[in-house]
Amino acid sequence: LGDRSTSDLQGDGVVSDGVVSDGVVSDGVVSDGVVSDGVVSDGVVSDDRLIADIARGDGEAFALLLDRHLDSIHSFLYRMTSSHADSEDIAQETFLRVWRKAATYRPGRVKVSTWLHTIAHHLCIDTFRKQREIPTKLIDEPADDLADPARQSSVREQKLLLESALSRLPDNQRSAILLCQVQGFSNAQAAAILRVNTRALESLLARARRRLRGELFANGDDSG
Amino acid sequence: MNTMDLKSFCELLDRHGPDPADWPTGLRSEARQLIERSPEAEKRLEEARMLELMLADLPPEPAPEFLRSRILVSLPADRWTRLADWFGNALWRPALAASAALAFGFVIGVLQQSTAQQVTADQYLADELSLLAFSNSFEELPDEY
Repeated sequence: LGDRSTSDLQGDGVVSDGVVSDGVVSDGVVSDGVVSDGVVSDGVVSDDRLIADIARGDGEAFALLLDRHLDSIHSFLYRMTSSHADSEDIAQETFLRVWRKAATYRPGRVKVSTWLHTIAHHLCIDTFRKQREIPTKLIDEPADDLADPARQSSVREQKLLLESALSRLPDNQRSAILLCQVQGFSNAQAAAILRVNTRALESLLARARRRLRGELFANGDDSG
Repeated sequence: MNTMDLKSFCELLDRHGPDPADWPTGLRSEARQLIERSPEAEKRLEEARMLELMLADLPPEPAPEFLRSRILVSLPADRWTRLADWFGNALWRPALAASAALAFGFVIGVLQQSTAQQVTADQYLADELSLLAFSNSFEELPDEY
């Protein structure tokens, strides 16, 4: 097994969200180096190999997986929940599920990052079901204030308006637009995460974009 | 002839985004013609582009420093806990089924054995009688045998 220390990973092939820019590893898929037994030629361990090690109770592998994916999962969850406390709790539960269920992961079916986002998304939806009032409560207060067109001039205010509009989207539409346009997943990957087919995903994206355009530019309803 | 109207164009933007490369090939030409002749369509395209840029520019929300430690500390402490989790989550159903089958087999086996013993005793008596009968017939055979 190659050296798995985080410092080496960051110093040589920079790890960001499971992707190594130099060694070109993305969830065990290598475009430039050679994978042998889960280890890429420059010593970087693939995510698939880490999951296999985690399934055997390897805490070091878990810590490394955490370093690779925690920020991305937290960022997604924060955009989903608009709440630091909720996003931290759900991120924690997501990785605990990984620790417990690593043996159920099947390499090759989906990428590890897709698997992690799937767990995070569904935990998020469960949380919303339990606390149905929280998302709307979080959003409605600033929305009225920001809806004033006179305040929409600055970029910062537009971003606030966008965040507010995002938060008001239905859960699946928000997930779809975040996964495809912020987290960088393809439509097929996002569809797998949401457990819908690609056509349904496109439909979710279309409705989300229409609503966002309507809220940000005040004319989205004209389209249909 | 261009049949695309503003509503269809907006639907195209919503479904496929503002990049013409992502639009269905058969609709690109009509959409481009509409953009050229309709300032409203051009405006909608610009808005869609701006929305894409705004989404792409959303700043990441990295996890706070303490969260990594909190997650690591919260892991089940030892292998026995993991084993218990695993048993609790995955193994109890097949284990219960196997145990039930085993117990059922044991009970059937015990019952069969006592029945078999009974059969053996009865069979022994029958065999003895048969031998006696055989002996009798032997005595009745002619002398040359």
